[in-house]
Amino acid sequence: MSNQPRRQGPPSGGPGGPKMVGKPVSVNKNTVKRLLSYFSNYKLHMILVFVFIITSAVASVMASLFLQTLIDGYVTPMLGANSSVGFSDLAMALVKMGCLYVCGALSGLFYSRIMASVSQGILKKIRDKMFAHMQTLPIKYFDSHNFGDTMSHYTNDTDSLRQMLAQSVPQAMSSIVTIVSVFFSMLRQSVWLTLIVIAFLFIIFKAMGFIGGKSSKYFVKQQKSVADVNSYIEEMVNGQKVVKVFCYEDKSKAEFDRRNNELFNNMRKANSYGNIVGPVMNNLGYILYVILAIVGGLLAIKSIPNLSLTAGINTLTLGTIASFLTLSRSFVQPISQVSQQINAIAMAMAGAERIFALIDEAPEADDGYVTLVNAKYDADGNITESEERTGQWAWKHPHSDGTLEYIPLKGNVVLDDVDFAYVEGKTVLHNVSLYAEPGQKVAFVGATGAGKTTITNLINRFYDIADGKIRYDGININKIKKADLRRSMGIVLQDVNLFTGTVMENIRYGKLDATDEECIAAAKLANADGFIRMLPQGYNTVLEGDGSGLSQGQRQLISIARAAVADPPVMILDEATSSIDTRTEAIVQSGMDALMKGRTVFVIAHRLSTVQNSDVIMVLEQGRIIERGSHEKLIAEKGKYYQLYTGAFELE
Amino acid sequence: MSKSVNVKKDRILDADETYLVSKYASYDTKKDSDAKVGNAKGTAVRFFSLLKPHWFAVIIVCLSSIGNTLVSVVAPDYMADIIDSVQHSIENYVYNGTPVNFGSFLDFDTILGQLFSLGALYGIMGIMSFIQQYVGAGISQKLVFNLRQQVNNKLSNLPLSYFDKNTKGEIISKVVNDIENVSANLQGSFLTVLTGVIQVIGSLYMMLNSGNIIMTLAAIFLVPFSGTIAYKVSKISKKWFSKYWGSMGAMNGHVEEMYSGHSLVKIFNHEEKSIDDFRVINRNIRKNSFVANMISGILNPILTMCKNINYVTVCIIGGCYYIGTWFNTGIAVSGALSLGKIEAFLSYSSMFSAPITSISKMINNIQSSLASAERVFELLDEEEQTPDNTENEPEELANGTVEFKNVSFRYKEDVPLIEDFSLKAEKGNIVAIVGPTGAGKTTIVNLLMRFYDIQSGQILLDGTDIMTMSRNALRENFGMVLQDTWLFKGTIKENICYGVDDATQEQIESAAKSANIHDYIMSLPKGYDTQLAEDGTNISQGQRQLITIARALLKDPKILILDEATSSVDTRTEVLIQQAMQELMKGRTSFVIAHRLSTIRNADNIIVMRKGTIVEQGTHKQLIDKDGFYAMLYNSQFTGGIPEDIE
Repeated sequence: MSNQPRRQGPPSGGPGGPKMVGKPVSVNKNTVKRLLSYFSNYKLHMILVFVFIITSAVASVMASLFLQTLIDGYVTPMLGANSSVGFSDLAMALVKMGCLYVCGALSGLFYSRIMASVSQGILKKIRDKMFAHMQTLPIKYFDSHNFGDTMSHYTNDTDSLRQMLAQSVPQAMSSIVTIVSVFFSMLRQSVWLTLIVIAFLFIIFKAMGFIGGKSSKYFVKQQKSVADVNSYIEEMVNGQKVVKVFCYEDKSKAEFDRRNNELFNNMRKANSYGNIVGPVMNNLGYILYVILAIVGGLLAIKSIPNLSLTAGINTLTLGTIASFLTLSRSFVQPISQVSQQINAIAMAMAGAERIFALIDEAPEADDGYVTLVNAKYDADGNITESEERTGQWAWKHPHSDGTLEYIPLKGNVVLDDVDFAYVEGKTVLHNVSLYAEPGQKVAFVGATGAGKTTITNLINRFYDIADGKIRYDGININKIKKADLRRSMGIVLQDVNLFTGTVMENIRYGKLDATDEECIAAAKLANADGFIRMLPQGYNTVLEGDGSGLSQGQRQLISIARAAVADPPVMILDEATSSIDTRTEAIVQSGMDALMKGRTVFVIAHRLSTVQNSDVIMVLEQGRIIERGSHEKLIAEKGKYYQLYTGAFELE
Repeated sequence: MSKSVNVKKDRILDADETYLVSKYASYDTKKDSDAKVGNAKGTAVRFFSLLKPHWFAVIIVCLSSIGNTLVSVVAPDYMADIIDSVQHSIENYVYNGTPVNFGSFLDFDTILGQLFSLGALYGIMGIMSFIQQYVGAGISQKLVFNLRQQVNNKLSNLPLSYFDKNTKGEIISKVVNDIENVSANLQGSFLTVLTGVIQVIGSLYMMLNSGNIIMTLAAIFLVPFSGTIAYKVSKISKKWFSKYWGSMGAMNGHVEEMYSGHSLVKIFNHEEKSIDDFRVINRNIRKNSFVANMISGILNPILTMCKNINYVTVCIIGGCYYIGTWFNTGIAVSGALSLGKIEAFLSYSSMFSAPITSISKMINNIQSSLASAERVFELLDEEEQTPDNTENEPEELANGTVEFKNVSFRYKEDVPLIEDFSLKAEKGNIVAIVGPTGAGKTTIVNLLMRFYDIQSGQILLDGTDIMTMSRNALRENFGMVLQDTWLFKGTIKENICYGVDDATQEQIESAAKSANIHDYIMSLPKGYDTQLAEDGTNISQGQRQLITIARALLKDPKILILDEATSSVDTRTEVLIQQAMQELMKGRTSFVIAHRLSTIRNADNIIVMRKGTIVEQGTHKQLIDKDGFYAMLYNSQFTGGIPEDIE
């Protein structure tokens, strides 16, 4: 059982994201109900499963009861001098017993098969739903949640659900059926002996509880120290050079030994308690067996009246004792199984609760009704909607009075007195107003945290503004469908994300129906074509692990090509080029320049060259635009921008 | 209205399932465990040789297993006696037909005695099996403990070239996953195999000892069959399980990429595509998981069936023996058996088959843990760095004069890198190393610190050949600030103190002040005792760099190795880092991987590297006059539009 410690409390990361309060985990009625609703498609399956579970449990109980019939009905009479029972009767009885075994085995096979398919189906559905929902979540969710926590919903939590559905539930069901039927069969044989069994069970549970408690305590400790040792190794391998430079090899060895020792000790303690369980259980089982045999024998010999649930008061026979002994064995095992399964079920329900919490996260709201359509101009210059790709786009704006308006997509962006806060009360943008005519280049300049990225986050509606207005081609962007809004603009982010797949696939990510030629043309525009052709398989080279085989500059070039293939009228560029060499830098630069041509561009600028030839430069400080204007104007003003420009250091 | 994402079932999923799953193969962390063992026998022998120091414990485990098994093998015989005694009593009663009083109904004394000895036997068995489990677990844990320790010691003795050749992921996987795998399978399989073998031999002996070949055959005839099935089925199911892990890995990879690239998904409106891909992978998981569980689920019912068939066969044939004829045909059976003996045969039958099937089920696990052990041994066999030579072990720290004398070095024998390179840096000099990314600027550093050893020539520290002193003595003279800021989990104070254990709070604070990080640290709620996350992610990149500078300042080295590159930090922090680095270089011999013109212009010596080799060397003025590669680099920054940066 992997029982990893879960981080409670508010997750870190994100620009002051909302605080999530860690809830104590308990089995919630609603969770159970909700989980059950997933079974609705499998009603017939579940009925079958239930039938087979009962069949299998009953068959195994009957098979042990059969031993009595076998001995009392066949073997003992056959010993008699003139018995009428022949060997063929015995053979028949044996065949019957065989049939029972087969029956039990088959129904066991059936129910586990059906249950496996049901649980896999349900899990698939849950995972699908979870992922589909995750894709609808607003950026805020990603900024405020830890990836590891989210991932564990897909792995640990679903796995504990799987265990519950495929193993714990059927096993618990079958165990309960077995317990009940065995219990009644025992009562049918002898009430006295049954009482002995129950008294003994009590002792067994006490012993198990004691040992189990001790051992689970150390198992938790063991898990913790395994993680401890492993993370230490990881850290040391990563810092190998520093360890060597500071001559810390011996120290790090000593620290490792300490952790390794602790692991060893916890492991030994956990196991020694764990190892006692088996022998203790076995011995207690044997003792029970012997006690039952002696008491049963005594009862039989002394002909003490035996109380049976069905037959009333009678005398014990040898056969009854034999089958009772077998029954008592099959009574203890399922009971300890049930108690184990209950644990697993509780864990799974806690997992289910977390999964449902993810599914219940509020999705990104979109009230937009203005859509982007392919446009055609007729002879009079009027716009009409077109089915096929025309290369020209227009906003389709249905007004409340029923009229339709087509507005050509130009890339005119206006921010009017915009305020924004990631967390209520902590305003990060104050009264930001700006306009960008189609084809203009707007540069944002300022220190980290000044609000450069925030502005771009608002334009593409990753976040919604608190106050003010943003208009796009004269339309309030809140009215535009988010998907269409984003389709109309391309973004090249500072953090380059590449996906596992070929280079071609990564470029095509910009426009899924782009032909190979279009992708290559985009790569050429972005100056990426040259190096891509040098890769072992050219455009078909498979990138793995976020393109780790490529240099930072190359990754950036691919992401530029990706934006280029989408060919949007508006571009948002984050220029930061961290640690790439001069030549690559120049190549990336000219790729970006090519991409900017003829578009409305918002640049988070890090290079003076970019800044210089921008139409407008916005100098941001603590969420306010403190200076604006062209390079020449700002230099002449001798303000903050002038200081930055003439300062001893580059912007970044 | 909320944004609706189409999750309807009928959307055609036309993505290529196999391709989609296979492309994420690098995310499958369990893939290694499927690897075949190259030299199974050699690995196994070596593995068992690790047991040598624990010979005493091993003998105890063996003895107690043998004892335990013997007892459990003998026990059915005692049980048989009891049953026979009871039966005799009944027969007496039935045949004599005389009503007897209770006392004489059963031969109670005999039976009680037999019961007691049986009880005693079971008691001994319990104690034996406890000893066996306890000591056995101890051995395997000690073994894993030692293995971990050996591997860790090995890691610190490996030369840096090992870490350059293998990815960190691979090394960590060897140390973490492979040892885990060995440890998980070791304890179980070790004891199972040991006791299993004894049990099989013992029960077979007892059966043959009874002299009844036919009954023996009846008791075991299906075992080879069930053993083979167990082996085959678990092999197939293992294959499917590794497919299942593959698809789980693909899911992890997909979710991880979509999570970290979530803004791209939104920008390009690819929610639907990513959901479709997920569903295809998910479908694959469902299929693999179902088949894997199905196949492994079939195994136990089949084995139970086999066992039951054996059981019934023993019953029937035993019955024939008991009655004395074959199926009422009148053909007499020689060597009648008592009921008790038949019962004993039933026990032997299961005692014989159980270990065989469980070992066959385990073979696959054993193979995979052998494969893991082999990889661990491979690591242990890696060539270590040359032992330290201490003939000129310095008594105290050096002054800081460094001289390269006709040094030649190559990473690979047939690729010449540094040939006949000479350079002298006096105390307090700055040596700038410049060149494009990937030009091998760190090579010089690697040689100076003896991460790699030169092939010919000499590197002299204060006139002493560094090959003639221990690495630690050499490295004590150095401080290093790298671009890759390595911080470990612990407090800020601990991170700064790394290198100087006995530093006082004042010393730490003054280092932090010189590194321009003191104010920031004091602004944190817990100040110097603030815990850094495992990878230091709870502070910014720039602050991390400042902490590493403080660390180097505290060590107060005579010689400094500095990587000036600062990756994406904001202007203010950049200024702070810049100042701190200047402060750090003061009065020390510095080797700087230079990115700033001010540093380069002031350098006493500039080493220009290109494609791994040193192409030029000299002062700024000399190199500009030479009008070579450096001049080109220097000039390109103006045409390239990068005013103050050369890299």
